[in-house]
Amino acid sequence: MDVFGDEAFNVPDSTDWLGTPLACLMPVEQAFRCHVCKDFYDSPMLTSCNHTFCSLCIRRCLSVDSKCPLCRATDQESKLRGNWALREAVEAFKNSRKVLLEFARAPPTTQAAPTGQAGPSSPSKRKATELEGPKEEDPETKRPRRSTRSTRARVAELTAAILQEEEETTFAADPDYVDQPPDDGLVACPICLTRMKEQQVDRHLDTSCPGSPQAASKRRPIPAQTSQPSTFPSFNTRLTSQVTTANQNQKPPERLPALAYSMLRDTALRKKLSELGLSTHGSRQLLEKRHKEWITLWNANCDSSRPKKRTELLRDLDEWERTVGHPSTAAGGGGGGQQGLGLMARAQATGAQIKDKEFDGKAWATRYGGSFGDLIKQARKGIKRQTLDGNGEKADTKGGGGGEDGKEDITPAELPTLQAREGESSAAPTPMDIVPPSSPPRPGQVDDADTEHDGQAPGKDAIAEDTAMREQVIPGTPDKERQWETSQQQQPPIPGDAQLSGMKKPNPETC
Amino acid sequence: MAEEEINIPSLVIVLLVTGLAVRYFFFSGNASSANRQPGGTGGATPEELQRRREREREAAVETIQQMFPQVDRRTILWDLQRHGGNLQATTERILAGRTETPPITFQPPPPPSSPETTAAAQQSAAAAAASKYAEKKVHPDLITRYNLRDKLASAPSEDTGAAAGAPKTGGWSSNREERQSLLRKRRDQMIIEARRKMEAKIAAEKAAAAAASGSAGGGDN
Amino acid sequence: MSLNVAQRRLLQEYRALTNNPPEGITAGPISEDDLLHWECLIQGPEGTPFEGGVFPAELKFPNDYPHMPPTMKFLGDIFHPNVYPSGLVCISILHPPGDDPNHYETASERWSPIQSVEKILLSVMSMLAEPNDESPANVEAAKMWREKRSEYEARVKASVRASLGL
Repeated sequence: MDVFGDEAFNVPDSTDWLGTPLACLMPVEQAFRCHVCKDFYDSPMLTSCNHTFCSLCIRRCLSVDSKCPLCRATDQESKLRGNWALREAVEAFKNSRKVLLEFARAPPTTQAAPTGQAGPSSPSKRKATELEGPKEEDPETKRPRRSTRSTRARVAELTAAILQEEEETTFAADPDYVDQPPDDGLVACPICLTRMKEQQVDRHLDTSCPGSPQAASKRRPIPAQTSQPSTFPSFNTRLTSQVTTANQNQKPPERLPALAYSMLRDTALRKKLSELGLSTHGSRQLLEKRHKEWITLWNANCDSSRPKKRTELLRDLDEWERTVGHPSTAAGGGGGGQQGLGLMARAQATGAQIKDKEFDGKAWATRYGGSFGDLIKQARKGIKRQTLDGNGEKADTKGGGGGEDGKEDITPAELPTLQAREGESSAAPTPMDIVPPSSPPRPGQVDDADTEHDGQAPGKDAIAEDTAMREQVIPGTPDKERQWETSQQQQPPIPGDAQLSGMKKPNPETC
Repeated sequence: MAEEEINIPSLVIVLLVTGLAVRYFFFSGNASSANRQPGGTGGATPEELQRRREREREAAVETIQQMFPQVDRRTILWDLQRHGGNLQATTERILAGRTETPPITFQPPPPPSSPETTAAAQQSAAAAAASKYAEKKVHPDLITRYNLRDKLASAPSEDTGAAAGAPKTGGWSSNREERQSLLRKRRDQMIIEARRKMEAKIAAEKAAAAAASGSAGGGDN
Repeated sequence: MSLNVAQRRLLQEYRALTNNPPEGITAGPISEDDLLHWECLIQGPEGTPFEGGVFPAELKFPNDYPHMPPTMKFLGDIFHPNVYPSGLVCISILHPPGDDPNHYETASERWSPIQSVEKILLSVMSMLAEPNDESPANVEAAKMWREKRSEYEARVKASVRASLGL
């Protein structure tokens, strides 16, 4: 495919086939994509209503709604079944996609050239080359090597594939062979399946091959889909551990049972979390959500053909916590807090990005140099203004440093502020007649500002100003309450200051 | 001693004068500010009270609408009126979804954005209305919004050429900036096309109307 | 640099909408730095008073998109029974699963993770053509639409022209 500026933004899509002679492959690719995440199926699972989704997607859906997203039939996580055949098909398609697309995109006149380069033109052969896992390999550099290669090695590989397939029928399918990271450059011995350099295969066959298939270290058989996940886990463990006798780096993961949170006391839940090695910090609601998310992640991982390590899962959970798991997002159901929280999520995502190992500091600095300058300017200006509240400063640290502890950052007192900003931009007119001379940007302008600066500065600014504005509005309220209500009996007016800061988060979704 | 006698009364006088001055300034400042706010009618006339009440009610409604854009004005007013204008109580009720639908007989006072209806359109009211009007009219037409005047003015043939080219160049670009500008281009294209079509339609309508009136005139004669 | 589920999916949808734009719809993130905030243009459906108009709207996605729906807000004046005067669109596809404040929508009309930006925009287009006056968001518009249809249409047409600067 094309050379992309940043890999993260390169999300292949089924529409890529449009405009090529192979446009008919678009529906094919669509069929290989999950309806929820629109990506290729990752550990596809069948629901009781015979629909298929990624394991993680359907588990998340069911935890939100316990209904199939497609037909809305009620379903349970424990009833999900793996769709291994589809998994293999998806893997195979994914692996061949790049070549196919290149082929399709090549101008028709020069079609002969790429065919010559990529080797034999028949599709089956093309697939065979794919089987060796040259995902990232350039056909040109590969070609000479292939020609000098012993045919025996190639035959050996194919045999190994078949053998493996046969073996797979005894337990869960494992397309690891196809998936093998292409960068290891190794091939499997046709007999014992030990991976080694291809030059070594011949000698190995003659000398050290044990003569019977050995479970390779990379091959981690999946526990058979348990119909009673919680009742027979030990059985599965035994079964699978027998298979992996030769090289047992990792125990096959066991699925975690769901908890009935309403039956659990706080302390019990905390204990459960600490048993799992998770943070026990936060409100009860957050604890429940965290536990649920962990179970979802964990169980989805159990479905995977290449389960991730626990540390990776913990990182995923962390990521989730920083973005989705935010307590106020949970409360708002996604509707209300979007503006403010979206802003924060962005900051937090950026934080995660900065922490990344491959982070290119220099490029970052040059790219956002202007924004940084703006931010500093605005912060200086802001300090003069922000004597009333610390909120702006908090937002500041958040924007700059990026959410190490993002989830705890929002205090209840901050909510109305966020909300105010959101309210302002989402519709309602502001009481302009009481606004101080340094009036905040009107809704339209706020948005524009957001578009122009990609930093958090405008938003933060608006928040601060909005708060200031609110302070102006409030003093008038008690007075008004006494005055404009004459016909009704008076309820003692509550001092205005408390009114707005005590406000809970609204949910504008309920329209 | 004598100096002291002189000093004490003079001191008293000085104090008195300063006191008066302070009072004068204090009062006049207060009065003027009070006057200025409602628009210079002076004194707390019933009219002024009424206006102030209106304004404060509007502020309350606006505050609530800011938080709950989905709740309509009428409901808010009704709830505020029924529960003594207590902002917090209303908010809580909206949050809990316990707002009642106002009876049909309930006539909400008109929003201040239509001050023409209220005869006494005072300066402040007008200012408030103007700002509200500005709020409402914050959406300029699309041509202004997306800065398309120049493009609109440019030769239409050029644009149609671009339009013909656009679908071809359209598609995912590998470059982020390019993607962004492509999206913008498509957007502008869409607006300009709509505007052209509408212009043509209006012209056609006008022509038709002219023809109709012409023929009608001819028929009369 | 990694994208979370919501961002990745939105990027994917953006790509699909760019590669294969549906008739009368242009949509994409305002800036790729914030994929959760989109701006889109919808063409007024033909045969309706909105015909010929182009309506800008913004979409704001929650962090748990696609499990929760986005909100949609028209950025210009739009006089329609299902659009709040603030521009917020009230349409069943945008209501999160589970809660049904109005008790009239069947579950199948509401949000589901398989929905997409394209589907939302298409639904909004059809909503422009056929308002649902069961749950009016703009009471005035709903009343006028029900009782004085011609007046309503004239008003909409005028606002469409005004929005195009004519």
